[in-house]
Amino acid sequence: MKRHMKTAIALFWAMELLLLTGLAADKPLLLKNGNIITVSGGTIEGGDVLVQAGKIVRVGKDLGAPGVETIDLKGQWVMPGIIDSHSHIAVEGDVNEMGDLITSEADVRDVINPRDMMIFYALTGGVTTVHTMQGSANPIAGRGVVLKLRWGKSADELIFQGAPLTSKWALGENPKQSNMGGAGKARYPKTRMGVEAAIRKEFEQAKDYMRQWQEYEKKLKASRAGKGKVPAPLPPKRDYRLEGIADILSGKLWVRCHAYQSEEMLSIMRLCKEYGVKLACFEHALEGYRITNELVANGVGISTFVDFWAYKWEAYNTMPHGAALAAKRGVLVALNSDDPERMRHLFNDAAKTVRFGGLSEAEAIKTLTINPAKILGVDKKVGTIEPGKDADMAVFSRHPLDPYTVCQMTIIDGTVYFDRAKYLEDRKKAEEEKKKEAEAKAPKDKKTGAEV
Amino acid sequence: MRKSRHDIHPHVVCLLILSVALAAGLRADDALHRVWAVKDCRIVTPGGPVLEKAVIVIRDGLIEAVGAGIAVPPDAEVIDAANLTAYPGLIDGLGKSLLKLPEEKFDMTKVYSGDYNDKDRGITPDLRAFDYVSLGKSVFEKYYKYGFTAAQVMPDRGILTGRSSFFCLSDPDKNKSLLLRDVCLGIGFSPPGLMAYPSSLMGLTAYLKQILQDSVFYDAGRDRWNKDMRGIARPDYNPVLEVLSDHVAGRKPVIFLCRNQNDIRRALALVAGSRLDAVICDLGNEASDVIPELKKAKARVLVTVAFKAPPSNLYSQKGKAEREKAEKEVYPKNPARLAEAGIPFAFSSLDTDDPKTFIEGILKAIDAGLPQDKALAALTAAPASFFGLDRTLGTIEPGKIANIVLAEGDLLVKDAKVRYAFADGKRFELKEAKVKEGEKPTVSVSGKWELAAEGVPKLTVDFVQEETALSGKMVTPFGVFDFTGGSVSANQVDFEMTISVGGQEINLYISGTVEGDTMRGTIVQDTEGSVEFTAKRIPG
Amino acid sequence: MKKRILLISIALAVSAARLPGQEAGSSYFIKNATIFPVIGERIPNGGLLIENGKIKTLGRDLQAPAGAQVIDGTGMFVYPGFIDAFTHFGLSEIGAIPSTVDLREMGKENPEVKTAWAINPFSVHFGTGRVNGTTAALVAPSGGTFPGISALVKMDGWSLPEMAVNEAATSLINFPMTPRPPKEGVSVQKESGDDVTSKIVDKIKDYLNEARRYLQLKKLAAENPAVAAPASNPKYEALAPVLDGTLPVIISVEKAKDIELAIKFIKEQKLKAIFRGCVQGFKVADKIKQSGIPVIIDSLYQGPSEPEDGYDAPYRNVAELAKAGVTICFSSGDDPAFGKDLTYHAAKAVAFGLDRDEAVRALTINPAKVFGVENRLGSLEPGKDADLFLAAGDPLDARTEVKLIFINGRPIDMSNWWEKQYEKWKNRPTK
Repeated sequence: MKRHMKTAIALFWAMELLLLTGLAADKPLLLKNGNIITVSGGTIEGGDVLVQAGKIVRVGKDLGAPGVETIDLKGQWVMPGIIDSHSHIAVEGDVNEMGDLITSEADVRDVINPRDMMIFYALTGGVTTVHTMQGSANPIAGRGVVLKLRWGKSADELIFQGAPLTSKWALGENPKQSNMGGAGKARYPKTRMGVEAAIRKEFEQAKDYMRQWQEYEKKLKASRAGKGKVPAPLPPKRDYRLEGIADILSGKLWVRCHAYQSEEMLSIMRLCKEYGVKLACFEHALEGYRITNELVANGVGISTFVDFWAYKWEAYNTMPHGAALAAKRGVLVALNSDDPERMRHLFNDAAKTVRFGGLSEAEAIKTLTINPAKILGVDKKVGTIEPGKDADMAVFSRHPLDPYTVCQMTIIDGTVYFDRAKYLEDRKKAEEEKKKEAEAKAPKDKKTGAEV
Repeated sequence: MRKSRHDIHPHVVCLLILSVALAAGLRADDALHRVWAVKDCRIVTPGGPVLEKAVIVIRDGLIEAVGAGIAVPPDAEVIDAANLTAYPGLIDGLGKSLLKLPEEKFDMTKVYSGDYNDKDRGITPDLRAFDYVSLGKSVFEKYYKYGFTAAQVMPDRGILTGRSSFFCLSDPDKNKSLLLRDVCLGIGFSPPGLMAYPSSLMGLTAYLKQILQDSVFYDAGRDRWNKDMRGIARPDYNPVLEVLSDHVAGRKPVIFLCRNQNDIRRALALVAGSRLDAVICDLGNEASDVIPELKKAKARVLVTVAFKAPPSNLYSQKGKAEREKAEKEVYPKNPARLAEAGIPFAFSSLDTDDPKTFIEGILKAIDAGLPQDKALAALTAAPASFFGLDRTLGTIEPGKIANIVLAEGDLLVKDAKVRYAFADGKRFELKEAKVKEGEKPTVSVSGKWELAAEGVPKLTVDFVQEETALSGKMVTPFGVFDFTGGSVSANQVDFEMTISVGGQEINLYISGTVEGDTMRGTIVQDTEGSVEFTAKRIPG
Repeated sequence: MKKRILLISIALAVSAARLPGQEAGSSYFIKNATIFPVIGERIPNGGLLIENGKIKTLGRDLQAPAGAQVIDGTGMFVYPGFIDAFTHFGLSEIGAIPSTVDLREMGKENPEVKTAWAINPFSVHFGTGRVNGTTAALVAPSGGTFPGISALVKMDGWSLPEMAVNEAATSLINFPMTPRPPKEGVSVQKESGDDVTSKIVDKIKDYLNEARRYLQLKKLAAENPAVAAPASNPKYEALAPVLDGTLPVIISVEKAKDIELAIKFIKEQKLKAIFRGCVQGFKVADKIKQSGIPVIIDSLYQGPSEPEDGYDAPYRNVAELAKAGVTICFSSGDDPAFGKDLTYHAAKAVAFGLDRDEAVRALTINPAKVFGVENRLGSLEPGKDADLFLAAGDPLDARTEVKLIFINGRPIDMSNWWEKQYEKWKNRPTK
């Protein structure tokens, strides 16, 4: 290379470094020599990712610069951190408020437990963001929240800032308590149609409630204008449950509705349209592949299993091809876990969509990354490896869809939260120490001093 | 510093006879013993210098004078305290061992009918400790032995657990011992475990937010009605909200029973923006993990000392070795860390069953780094000031109630020996207990216990323990079943029994460890699996 | 592409031809495939001839005989059908609906109960469970201490007796599990849990001794008219072959301490045992090896038995057992709906250190040997049942499609509950 070119490049790097270090207190980090699955722009073989201040700065080849802390990926695979849009981890206590039917006042942010070991297990499976929420015992269960799995931080620090809050709904067997074998109080509703009726009733009550407050405001104004001749009105009693519903009706909360059977999903889409509610996706939606036209027309995605089925009646009329078929027909499809053990092998689940339904590998990866990001409303920040996005990535020993792959490292906001090599090293050290302790304690033969 | 206890004084002999007479049922005339002079003692009082060779004069239940050169009044009975140290009587900031709550009989048909009442849901703010406190000389002795002369007592079951009362441990008649009645409202984070609303922690938190808000609204409605009855509908009477009134307006405190740091966080969130005068009871020993938040909220903390790993902690999820290490090394440091950060705190016996284990826990905290003087303050001046009693309790000063203990040497040390206790100016002398060595069981479990385990209906066990042999019967929804051949060794209980359900025989193997009135262990059912259980002794 | 057309036409032809009358004289020749016999080296560009339900011959440079239907295996891989060593296929359709579930009988002692009486051969899960190449499975009962007798069945057939390779394959004993000490609260002073496990094991021994006594009396009575025969007891009768070692017994056990106890128990009782589970087996791998007891690995959709074992414990457990020389088999676990994931568990074990060839053996010849049917199943050798499949790639890879499966020398109908729905719904017109 000509001398002046070299100098120019060196100068460019010096300036860039200066710029980078001037941008924030955080030092830059370079992941070099990996196969980078960007999702947005194909896969870069032998590529690099430059990270700073928690964001991805550059993606490309030969991004190396002197003085930058470097992790040599040695040809391993990098993908955007996996996003699980249906989980119940990091929640303290029961995720279901069984005591009442509609519990829109319940908020999962009140019960975040940042010390749930399941967060660590999720990191070992390359998961960086989860949507955690109530279970499915109630037609409207409360508010859910998106978290980043920043293991070791406080509950507030786990919350994904800027992610829309969600409202968890449920239809079908669970809210009508069909599978409790007679235990539990006789609670209305006992049919699917009763479930929809209950939701409508609560909506109308919330509208009444909002009207009451509007009338109060009017009366208050009148009383002030009347200068004491008319006594000041008492404000209506605040009702947090109905305020939770009001948030749904105003579009503040993104609704996620647990449903299996196609007729229920069709009728809820009609209901949501009627009330102007933002229905972001159906959870599970195991019959979703039958109503792809309607899902696409209404802009509703699905967050589903690839092959968890036949555990109850409404999970029977389904197939592992469901996710792929829906995706091919234009539905936004995310694969989820609903279970901490499944969460740590979601990448294996995605591989199944290649065989069942013929999804391409790139599309399969999308079901774990940009698709759930869109469903959760965080696609401007995560879901792909592009400059400007959060540095949330997972490193795998082989391609993530390879059956023999192992997650080696999980990075969130540019910080390594899981490092398998270090984990194994620490374990080895702990085992060696334990051995030494046991040997020290072991009874010794009095004569020879050897261990008995 | 400590003199040998074998020095016998003539006074002691007289008093022995007197106390025997007392035990035999003769009531001494308190009116004859209203004036005391404690001579030549060392006085340790928080916030003041240590006085040597001082005199304390007690008259009519109050401290009349304290100082070095004070004259002994002629009508005073004199205690020669030349080798004794006087401390303000210790205050248990919050406990429940003096409570005898009625046995709960739960109607199983409610599970199917759904007819739960407020009591079932754990909403019992009208449950008054005052109604159920059980005082008596033998109970007092257990407290005096470890230096305690006052206690706050509160029910702790459910969500709105009830209201506390403060007692001076001086008279078996609770009307005479009462210091403050119905003072704090307890708020807990444990749903009763039925399917009644709220049944989950998440629902409970939302419920608390709503009920506190409802109480504010209720107050406003009632005030408005009382001021000017025209123009508004007469508000309904609501007994629960009526009780909450004083607390929500900040006129009386609330005590949040926080099982772990997540509960503390939830409690502070409920307090923010409200008028609640809140005290945090740190049952999980994790308050030192949320010091900045506590500082910001200017919170007062009640610290407990069983130092067991709280729910949802990380150590337990990492394994038994980690949990035990944390219980030994991490949790006992909690009070020291709070002291260092300047968070005001008092000690609470809520998770230890008797004064003995309470003091043992406090000593653990001192071993883990809590300075002695801070520990003493947390047992005297702090609980007094938290609950508005600082003008009458907590130090040895003229005008305050004569609650004083005299110990041979230091009080907050292992095997401390309290010789005398004054409560409301009434003197009690403590005798040396006969120590029985060589007997294997260190606990007696005879009597009724209520056993609770996840997924298992509530069971009652009636134990009959004869030394190491254990037998008894278990009451289950399927019938009553006897068992024999169990054993008690140190504080470990083991027994097996066979239950017959629908013609099928089920074998249960139960092993538990007893601490005070609590037993915890596992039930193994044949080869099906095992479940953890907690059992509480049923008083009576 | 040429080979695809050929396969489709063959598939159509053979599915139409799948009639009972076609038994005799059916012969198929797979040509130009990579063949994994399991015993011996792989055969590239190999041929395999199936005749009358058996493997006739296999090797390089073979020619299709006249009359044989030719299947072009170019680019395909041929493996012996996988054997799922522990399942509940046919005993449960929809878990939440009790009328469709026949997993466990009431009571603790049911050693005489046979799953062969209850297996539903038309269960949807046979069709969906075999799609990754499973051709035979052990179907076991569950629950209690003595759950019953398992059956080894093929994954396809007209009736249960026709599907059964062995209607009484093994008996079972569920070993007690030492409970974990309580998570929170009082620290337990001694490991009283161990004593409880021993007590339960003693009860099991007592039961076996009762059975022995019964059998002894029965024998004596037969020889000596003066001895009264005991009242007939089918449960003890069912234990007779277990006690004399002719019927193997699967013992479900998980923790290291319990495994050691179980090894002692098995030796004492002189049982021919197979372990199932052993998720902490890696801690006592040498002892398991010494005992000669094979291990059926349970589903790897689980976390560690104790958190101290590490997040990857169930995975690395398999490799460590294999390294110590223990014979391992794989199982798809308790849920028939996940039958097809037998290969997932094998692949996961390989990802965490198991040698891939050993994994394939664990899916084929190992379970065949463990269940005493290696004369018929477990490898591609002349004379063995023609249970095999053609895969478009590595069968342990979830992305690989298994194109054709042979059971008893007949290509089976690859359509199943899933495929039927897929075929229908992919044709709904998009608006």
